Amino acid sequence: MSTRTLTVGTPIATRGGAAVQAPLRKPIRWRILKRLSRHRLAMIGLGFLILLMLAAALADAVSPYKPLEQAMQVRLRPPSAQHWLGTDDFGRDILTRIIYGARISLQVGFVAVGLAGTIGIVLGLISGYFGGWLDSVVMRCMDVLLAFPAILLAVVIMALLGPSTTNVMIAIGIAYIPVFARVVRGTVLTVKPNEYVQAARAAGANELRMLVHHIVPGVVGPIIVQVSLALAYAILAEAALSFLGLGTQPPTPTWGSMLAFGRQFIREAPWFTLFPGIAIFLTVLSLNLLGDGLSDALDPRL
Amino acid sequence: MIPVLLGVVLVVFVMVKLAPGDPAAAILGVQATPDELARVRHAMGLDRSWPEQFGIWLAGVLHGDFGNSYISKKPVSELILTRLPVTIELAIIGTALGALVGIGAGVISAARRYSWVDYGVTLLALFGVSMPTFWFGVLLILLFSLYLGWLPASGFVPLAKDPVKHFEAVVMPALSLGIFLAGSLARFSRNSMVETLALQYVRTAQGKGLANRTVIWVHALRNSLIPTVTVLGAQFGALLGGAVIVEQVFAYPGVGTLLLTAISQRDYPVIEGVVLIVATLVVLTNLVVDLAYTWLDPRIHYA
Repeated sequence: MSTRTLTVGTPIATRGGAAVQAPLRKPIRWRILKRLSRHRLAMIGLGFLILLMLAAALADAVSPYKPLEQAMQVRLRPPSAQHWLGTDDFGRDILTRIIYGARISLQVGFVAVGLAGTIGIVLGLISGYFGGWLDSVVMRCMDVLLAFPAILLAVVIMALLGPSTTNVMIAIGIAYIPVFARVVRGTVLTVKPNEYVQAARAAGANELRMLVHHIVPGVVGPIIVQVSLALAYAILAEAALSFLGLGTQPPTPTWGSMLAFGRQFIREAPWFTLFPGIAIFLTVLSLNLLGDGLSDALDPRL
Repeated sequence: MIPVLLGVVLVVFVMVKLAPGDPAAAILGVQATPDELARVRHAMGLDRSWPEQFGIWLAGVLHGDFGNSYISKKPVSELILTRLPVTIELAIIGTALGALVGIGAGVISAARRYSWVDYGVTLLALFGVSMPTFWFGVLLILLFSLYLGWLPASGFVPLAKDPVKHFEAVVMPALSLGIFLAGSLARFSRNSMVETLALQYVRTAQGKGLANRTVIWVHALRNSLIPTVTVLGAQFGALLGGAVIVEQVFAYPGVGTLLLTAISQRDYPVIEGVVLIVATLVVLTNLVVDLAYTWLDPRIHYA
């Protein structure tokens, strides 16, 4: 049934869609990229994030020491030529541990946002596109999830699942599903009444085709912005969980746990707790800068 | 609101059921005989079907009965009630600080768009939303307690015992909680104010010769607050979540500390009680926000 409508409807829909979209699509993308590249703060953020990702990926090559290498004779040393950011209570190099800690932060960030994004986007698309009782059910479920503060929800999920890096990803991923579902649903509702969507429907495009070819492209912009903001939140949440001792367990370095252990030596070795905090701050700041730049670049009003 | 609350209760019940371990064993301890275990399980209704158990549990929750702590054996409701005022006070002061600073800065920033004040506020607001709450708390301790020695690094003094010491202890936790809110509200209220200032009625007010200050703070502010209040409402939940961490930083005896202690002791009834209470508070806040709209914009009515 649906294949027949597809064969009948497709040529017209694609021709219509192609005629409208093909000449515009490429220049629009170019214009957005160009606008983004002129956003100086966003470029600074992006630059920092690329450096961080490279450092995390090449940690074995770029770190001056090994992350678990202890040297009690140099414990709690201030920043120096040998140890740029000082050493911790086991004499481990803080710079090295921050570089390795970036791995956990970025991994958790990307996987958690990937999880939250995938489920949230699908739910949001279904909810916004089909409407009706399906929409009500999905959105009430999201309201229930939103009643639990994300960090509290993550803390409790960790308490039930037990502390491990995988569980941190799951906990943060679940906590941020509603954010994506809401943003996507809201955007679908503004895209749906557009004439080109109505035209495709009139031309006989089936539901899946409508969603994939006509609704999704309109939703991509807000999703991209949301991803960069959600990454910032996810990295903050991972740090918070590790800080509370509910995240990735020692001796694996994470920014949050370094900060928590460093707190005990705040009088004699403030750098121990300061530098991991600066790492979290700069990463989140970069993601926020990039998010701002993306939302300006994608703003159709400009 | 009622369906959402029911959903919240259901989620927490599922959490109760997913919690590892046997509650009867947790209450009786390791030396319990199978007979004793069976007796306690029967008394707690654990041998009934899930829907029945949910009914019993819900009836208890509606009467304020969240069960007893596995560790201290005290009623969970009592444990929460002694800690809740501490957290709520912290959250309210944090919200008030965040809202005053954030909205104030946002409005001033919008009124002087593209000036150095605007750029400064924008930059500071960005710092505010990027700052990990707990790290900001550590920075405050480093500055105000260790270097300047003005404020106590941690601890809590009840209001009735010594009001001055009480507020000295509240200042830094409230500041750490409020910074994110201040940052995000400054960003929102600036944009919202910029949009409002472009509206016709504002130009009319300017045109009839009103002082700029009156136009902004009397005419435009209320209108521009509508989207800001939405953010404020949404952030209150996040702020309560943040309180869990901030209380830990400042060794503050609120619900967050209760929760984290319960987690380390696997005291599930306390964990569930705290989660349920916090989620209910968030739902009630959303109701207050909805009511605030009707005051800000009399065109909105709720039946």
